[in-house]
Amino acid sequence: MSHELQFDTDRLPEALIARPLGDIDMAVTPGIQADVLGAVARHSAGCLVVDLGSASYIDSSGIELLFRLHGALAADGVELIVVAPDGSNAARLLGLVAMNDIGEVRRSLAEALHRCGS
Amino acid sequence: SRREAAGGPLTVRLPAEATSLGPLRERLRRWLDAEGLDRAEAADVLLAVGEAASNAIEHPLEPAPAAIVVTLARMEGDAVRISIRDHGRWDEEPSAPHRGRGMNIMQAVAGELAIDRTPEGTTVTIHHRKGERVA
Repeated sequence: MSHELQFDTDRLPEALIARPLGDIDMAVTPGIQADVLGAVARHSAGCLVVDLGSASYIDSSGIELLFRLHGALAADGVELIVVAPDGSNAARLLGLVAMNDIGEVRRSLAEALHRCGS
Repeated sequence: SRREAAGGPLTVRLPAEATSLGPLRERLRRWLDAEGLDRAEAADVLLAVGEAASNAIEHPLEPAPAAIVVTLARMEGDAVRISIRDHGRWDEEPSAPHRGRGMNIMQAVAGELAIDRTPEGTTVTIHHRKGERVA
């Protein structure tokens, strides 16, 4: 049984931004995946920015989530950009182990949106 | 602000379910703060424990019906020692790519890491010296 993690969404012309608020672990990642993919479909977004700056905890289950989101979105031609600000838990995690197939990573929302718009 | 006086070892016993991970982190967060770890160090310890506890929940091939994960945390001088014990038998190799990633992350942030597998269960022990940034 999973419980729900809140996340904010912002729909901009160039992207849908999803910002998980709180701890990302294996209890919540299935729910986040479903909710985020649903939001992308509802908004017909061509680019999804997942802003991890408000993740108070994130581990390999979060990386697995990004990997699955990237795969699902790529099949529909939607780009995934991950924001991991300097000093964040997400930046710490992504710096620890080499990985691919989670999409582009940027250090700020502005850089991510610029990438979406290009 | 003055921290609460350190209160001794911490024992957390929780069901081997994903919904136990949040309560485990909360209790450990408070304990690590009381023991004087700064936020960055505590975050590394929480990440290592989180991966170990996730393994304990996901991995057992024959989980007992009322499986419990036991986490013991104590200070040894200026070092933290935390053991996470489950009562199932693990796959020898991670059965899914993401569990391999979890193992790599645990090894990267834990300081010293020991994994002891017996037929009765698996114990992961993390040893982290205060003031050492490991990765």
